[in-house]
Amino acid sequence: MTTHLRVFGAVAVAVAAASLSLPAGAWGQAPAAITRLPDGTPDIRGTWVRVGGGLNEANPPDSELKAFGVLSEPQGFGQGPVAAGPGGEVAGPRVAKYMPNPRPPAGIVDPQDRVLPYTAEGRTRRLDYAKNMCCPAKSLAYLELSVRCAPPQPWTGGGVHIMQRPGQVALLFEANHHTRVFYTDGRRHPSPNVRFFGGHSTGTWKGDTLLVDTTNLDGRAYFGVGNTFPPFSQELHLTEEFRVVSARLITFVLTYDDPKTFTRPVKSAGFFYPQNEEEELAPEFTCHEGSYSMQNIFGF
Amino acid sequence: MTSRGTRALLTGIAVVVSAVVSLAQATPPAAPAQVPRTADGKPDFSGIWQALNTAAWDLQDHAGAYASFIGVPPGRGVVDGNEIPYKPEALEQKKQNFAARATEDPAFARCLLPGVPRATYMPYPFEIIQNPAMVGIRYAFARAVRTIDLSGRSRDWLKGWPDFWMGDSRGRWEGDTLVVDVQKLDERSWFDHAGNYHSEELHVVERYSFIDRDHIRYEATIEDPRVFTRPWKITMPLYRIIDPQAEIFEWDCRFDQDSEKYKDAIPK
Repeated sequence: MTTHLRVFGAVAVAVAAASLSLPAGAWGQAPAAITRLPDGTPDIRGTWVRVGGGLNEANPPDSELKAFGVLSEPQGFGQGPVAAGPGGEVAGPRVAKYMPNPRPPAGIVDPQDRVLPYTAEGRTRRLDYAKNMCCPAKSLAYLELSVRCAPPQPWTGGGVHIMQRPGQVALLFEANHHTRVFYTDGRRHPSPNVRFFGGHSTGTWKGDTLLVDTTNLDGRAYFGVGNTFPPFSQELHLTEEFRVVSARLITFVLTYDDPKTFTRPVKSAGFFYPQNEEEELAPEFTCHEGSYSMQNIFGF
Repeated sequence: MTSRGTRALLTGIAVVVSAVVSLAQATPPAAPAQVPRTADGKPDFSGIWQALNTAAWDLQDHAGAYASFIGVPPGRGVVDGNEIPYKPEALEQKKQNFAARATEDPAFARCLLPGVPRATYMPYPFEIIQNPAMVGIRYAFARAVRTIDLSGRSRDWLKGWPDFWMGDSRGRWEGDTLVVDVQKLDERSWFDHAGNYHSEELHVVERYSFIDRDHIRYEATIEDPRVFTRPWKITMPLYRIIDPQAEIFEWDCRFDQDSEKYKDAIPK
C-alpha cells in the first residue's frame, strides 16, 4: 500500500503547485501584520507552501546537452483538471487563498537570462554525467539520486510546517520527510568531513530578515540543474535571505556559490505563502518504503 | 572492593533504581513546578530526548543474544506485566518473525521507518519541537518525522488513503499530559527486533508527561483486535539530552545500505 505513497504525496504537492498557474487577481489580500514571539522575532509558525529557489536554467540553443534530451525549460504543471485522492478522482483547479498578488519572483534572478555561468570543470562534469546517466546508467554513481531516494536538499519546495523555538527555526516538509533546521543559537557548522544532502544550516535574525548559511553539502544534487545531474562540488556554499514581509508572505533569495562549478555566484528567488487553513499536508510521503527502483535497475 | 562493600554498593544501587522506577510509575496529577512551559501554559516538551533501554530489541524481559550484526543487549522489558497477549494464531507469526529477525526486521535489518511506538525507543535520540497547534518530532533513525496535530481537526479526509509507516497522529491535552491518538499505521512495521508485530488495525494511544524537567514518562497503549486478545501497555522514562550542542544529523540508513549493496553492480 505504501507503494503508492510517493504518488499521493506527489499529488498533494502537485495540487499545491498547480495553483501556481492560476490567474492572479482574484484572491489578493491586504498585508497582514507580522505577529511576534516574546523575543521580538517574527512569528512564522504555521503551514506554508514554498515556491521557487531552484535553478530552472535556460540552455542556449547551441547547448551540447540538447543531444541528451536534457530539459531546457521548467515544465511546470498544466491548468487542466488534476487527479486527487486515493480513488484518482478528478478535482477542479484548487484555489490557493493566500497566493500573493502580484506574485514575487520565483526562480533564477541572477543571471537574468537564466544561462548558468559554468566553469570549464563544471561543464565537463555535467556533460560526463549527461552522457552516462541513461539508459542504462553506467554505474551506481551515474544513477539519478531521486531514483535512489536520496535525502532531499535545501532547495526542495512544496508544503512545509514551520516550527520555532528559542535557538532554532525548523522546516518540516511534506515531501520525503525532509527537514531543515536553522540554528540561531550561535553554534558552528560541523567539521567539513561531515557531509549531508541537506547540508548544515545556521541562521541569524536581522530585524525581520533571517539570514541562513548552509555548508557541509554532499555535492551530489537531487533533481539537479535542468533536472539532469548533480553539477555541484563539495565547495557549494548556500546563503539565504528570508524576509518576513507580512504574516502571509515570506520572500527569499538563495545564493549558490560554488567556484568549482560556476564562475560567479548564482541567485534564485522564491517565496512562502500560507497553506489554506482548512487543508492539511499529507501525514507522510515516503520513498524507500515504497520503492522497487533499485531492484528493478540492478536485477536483485 | 570487599564483598561487604560490594553488597553495600549493590544495595545502594537497588535503592536508587527502585526509587527511580517508583518515580517513573507514579502518575503526577500535574507536572512539577519547574518544568518548562509554553506561552499558553502547556508543558513544553521541546528538546532532544532518548529512551535508555533495550526495548527496540525486545519489549519483554530478554537475555543477550547474537541475532544480527549488532547483537542483542539483554534487558528488562517495558511491557506492563511483561506479557503480550497474542491470539494463538498470531503468536505463530511472531515466532516466524523472530526466527527471521536478522534479515527481516524492517528497522534494524532493512533501515525502513520504525513506526510508532518503536520510533520512540529506538536507541537513538529524537527532537521534539512544540508549537501551539502542532508538535513536530524529528527522529535520528531513518530521518523519520511525525507531526502531531493539536487543533482538533477531523482526520476523516484520510479515509481511503493508504496507511502510513509513522501513522497519523492527533494530540490533545489532558491536564499536563499530552495524549496522542495514532491510527492508520502501516502493518509492515514491527514493535521490536524480536518480531513482535501488529496488523493494520493497530491503534496506539501515547501519553507524554513530565517527571521533572529532564525526564518524560512515556506510555503507549496498544490495541489491535486482529492480533491481541486485549489492549496492553508499555511504559518507560525518556531522558533529555542536556548537551546544548546536541542536534539530530541527517542519517539515511537505507540510502547507505543501498549504496553498499549496489556499489559494484552494473545496471541492467
